[in-house]
Amino acid sequence: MKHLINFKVNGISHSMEVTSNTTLLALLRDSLKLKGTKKACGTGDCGACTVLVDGKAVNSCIYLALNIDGKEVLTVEGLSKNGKLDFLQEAFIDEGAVQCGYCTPGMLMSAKALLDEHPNPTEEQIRIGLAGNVCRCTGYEQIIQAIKTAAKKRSEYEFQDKES
Amino acid sequence: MYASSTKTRMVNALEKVTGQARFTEDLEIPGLLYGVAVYSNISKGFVRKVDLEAAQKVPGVKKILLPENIPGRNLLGSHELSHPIISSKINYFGDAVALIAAESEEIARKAACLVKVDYEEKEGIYTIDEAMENGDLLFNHLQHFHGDIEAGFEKSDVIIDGTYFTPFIDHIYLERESALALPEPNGRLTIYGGCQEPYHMPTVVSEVLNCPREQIRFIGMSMGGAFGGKSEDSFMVACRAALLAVHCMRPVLFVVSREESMRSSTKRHEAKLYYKIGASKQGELTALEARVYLNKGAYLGSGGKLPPALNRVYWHYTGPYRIPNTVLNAYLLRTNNPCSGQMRSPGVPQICFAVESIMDQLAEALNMDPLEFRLKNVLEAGEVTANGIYLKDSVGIREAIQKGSRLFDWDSRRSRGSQGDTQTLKGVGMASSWHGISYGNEKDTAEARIFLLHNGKFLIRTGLVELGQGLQTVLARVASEELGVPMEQITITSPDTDIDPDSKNTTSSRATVVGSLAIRLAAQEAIKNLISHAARLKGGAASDFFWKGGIVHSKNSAWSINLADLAAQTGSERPLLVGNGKWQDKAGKKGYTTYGYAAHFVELEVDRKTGYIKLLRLVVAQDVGKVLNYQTLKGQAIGSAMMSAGYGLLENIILEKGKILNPNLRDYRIPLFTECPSIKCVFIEDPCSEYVFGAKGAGEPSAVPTASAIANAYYNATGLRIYRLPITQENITGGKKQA
Repeated sequence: MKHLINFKVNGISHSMEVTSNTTLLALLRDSLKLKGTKKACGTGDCGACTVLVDGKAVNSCIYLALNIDGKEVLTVEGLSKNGKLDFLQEAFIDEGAVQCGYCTPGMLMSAKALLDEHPNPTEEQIRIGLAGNVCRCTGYEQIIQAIKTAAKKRSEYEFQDKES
Repeated sequence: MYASSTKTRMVNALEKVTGQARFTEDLEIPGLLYGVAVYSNISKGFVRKVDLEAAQKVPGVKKILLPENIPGRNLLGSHELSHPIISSKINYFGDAVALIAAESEEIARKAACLVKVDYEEKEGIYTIDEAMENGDLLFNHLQHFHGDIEAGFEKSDVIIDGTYFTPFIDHIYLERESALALPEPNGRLTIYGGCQEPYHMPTVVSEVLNCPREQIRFIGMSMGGAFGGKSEDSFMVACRAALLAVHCMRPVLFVVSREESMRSSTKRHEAKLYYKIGASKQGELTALEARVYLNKGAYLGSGGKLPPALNRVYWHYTGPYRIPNTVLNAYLLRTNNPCSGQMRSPGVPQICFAVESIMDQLAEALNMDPLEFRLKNVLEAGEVTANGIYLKDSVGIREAIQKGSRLFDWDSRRSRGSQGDTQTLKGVGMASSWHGISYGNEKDTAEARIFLLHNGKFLIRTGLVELGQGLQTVLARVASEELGVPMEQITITSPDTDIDPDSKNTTSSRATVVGSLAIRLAAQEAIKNLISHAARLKGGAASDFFWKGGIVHSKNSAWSINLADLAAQTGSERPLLVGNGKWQDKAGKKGYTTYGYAAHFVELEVDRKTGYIKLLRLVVAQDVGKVLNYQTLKGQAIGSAMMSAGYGLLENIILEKGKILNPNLRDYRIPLFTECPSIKCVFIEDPCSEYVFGAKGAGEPSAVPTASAIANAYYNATGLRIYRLPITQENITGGKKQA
């Protein structure tokens, strides 16, 4: 059975018919051709497919597309604004938090959800906030460093923004 | 001189943080079909009959293939005991009995469920002990003798022996194996995928398709991790995609689910290791006897009866120590379990667990600090290993132990002894390891081709593969030093077997080393050719010109020409081959040129009530010869160490008569953010004179010792010696309480 849903992805409005069993991941990758979001387990155990739905991080591989009706989705393709990288993307490059890059889109989205909620997270908050994202290459150390760096730069920027 | 302090970003990081990197599954090709396999429901027996009727009726199913539909050899490799592409004789749960192509993955999977297979089930053999009893299941038995073992043990004041067990574990590269095969009407077939042995891919696929090798082209996509697994496992998905593609004459993406990947992909060999080591009262090792049993699983893979794991057991069985009398018996056994293959330093983490556990026990028996005991016995430059390898230079194990221990603050942490509080027990431990770099034989070769582009930049093709380890960054950096131009002017490409040279596998921690050696030769030729070219333009002898920073200068006048102008003068817009370098290891070479060494230090606590083990601190000290890129190196070292920590604490393919009971990331757990301790790294730069800038490969040495250091720290905390990895509740009950 098909259902008509209305939603936004990375700021763009869509109206689309989906079946009851379509996952958000399939909608993003197959229908909208947004291939940045990755599938690594398909069972919600690794976080590679993480995207934000109304600001909350979800595993899109086990999240039904029906549930985004009336909501806004943000994927890794929507992180940079007007050609400028997000602080997290910049910090991931600078701190060497990227290796094979397969977990990276999901890591970035979970990290964004974390920083939106806790602009200056403790290391403990980072570890718990990203515990649902698995990485086999890095051993996590440089990802933690990147999130700390991004948080610092973001708060400095917002401070300057308020001052000026 | 090479400036290693420069903080160089990974060259392809930008495309990976923006979601633009293209992995195989991201490809969009019109008319694409999806391929899946129907896997066996038994681990040993025969297929009596396959009923395809219901499956074929599913709308959207294009083709279902059985063994008789394979035009060429139904084997993944040249040995008769290699893995069949489609099986009628079943040897493990990962055998495929049919292949299906359909208009969507969903349709293909639905059809797979409807394929009815009638099996004749047989009793399988699963354990190492069962396989040893049955003489037919011994694939290979290797021996090595050094010195006089009996005399050695007679001279020993202390002898410790024990039997150690290590599990099958999975690579868990986050990108599952996948391949897209695109057939052309003229009979050619292009495979898009990720593979650590790109040049071998056309050979394997053409044998299965029974076509000339030249008909097959392989193009490498971005790869989501490999760790040794994307050799055989990549060939398999490519062969299956190719078969379906030529039968349907449409492009086919062959996909595996995570469960199917864990069911059918290669594993680290399960091992049983009996080790007996003796030492004198003065703390000098006197003798070592090892019996190593490796569970190969159902089929032979790369290396045939001498797979990399067995070969490395041979060259590494003593650990990085000076032992005058040693003997090895190593056995490779066939069972009805998943196939074992290459995984980060194949064979060596298993050995390390046995050797490093006994090293600690000997130190305790001799009332010595485990670190001091090791330092008395580590190999030094100028010595010859038990296997007869002369270690000319770059033996950084002593320095790794010393620098690592200082960073860890070993003396004060260890002297506090096992301690804790009412809730927990605390302990510290360490382990050392070595890993032979590259192949260590005369077949070791690599080639690089440098092209000058029309815009004055360079393109370099090597056929070596970026897996996420940072190879393209490191090779671009080396080329930039050799050519004297900024790194931004250099592009290192992904594999394309139609145009690349064959630099063999991107495995064995060899790509940085052999790629750099080939690039150095190619760069020398390129500079020579570009100078000659300029000389012809300007008029004069080549000796009247010199090369500096990507510009050819005249020695006699102010005349000079830059690369873009030089390229324009050729009158052609195509890439111009300006340098070709082929490096080949010495004829008759036997044994590694050098080893990479690591010493890891661990502090952990154990919950007194639940037994839960929490890692508190980890120091990774690794001898890399020379740091080429600190950022990617650190990622490799820490990532390796955490993989080994998973081997120590969590990871285990649980099998019941060959069936994997935990084929998913919930029940088979790898370390998470919350389980990683505070990690510090120190790199020892003891250069290897045979290599470019002295740099040794770095992807594997640190994947070896962490699990062993954890087991030693656990003993320090609890007094329980661990004989079986991982250290889980179930396995601890097998530990012996020290009197």
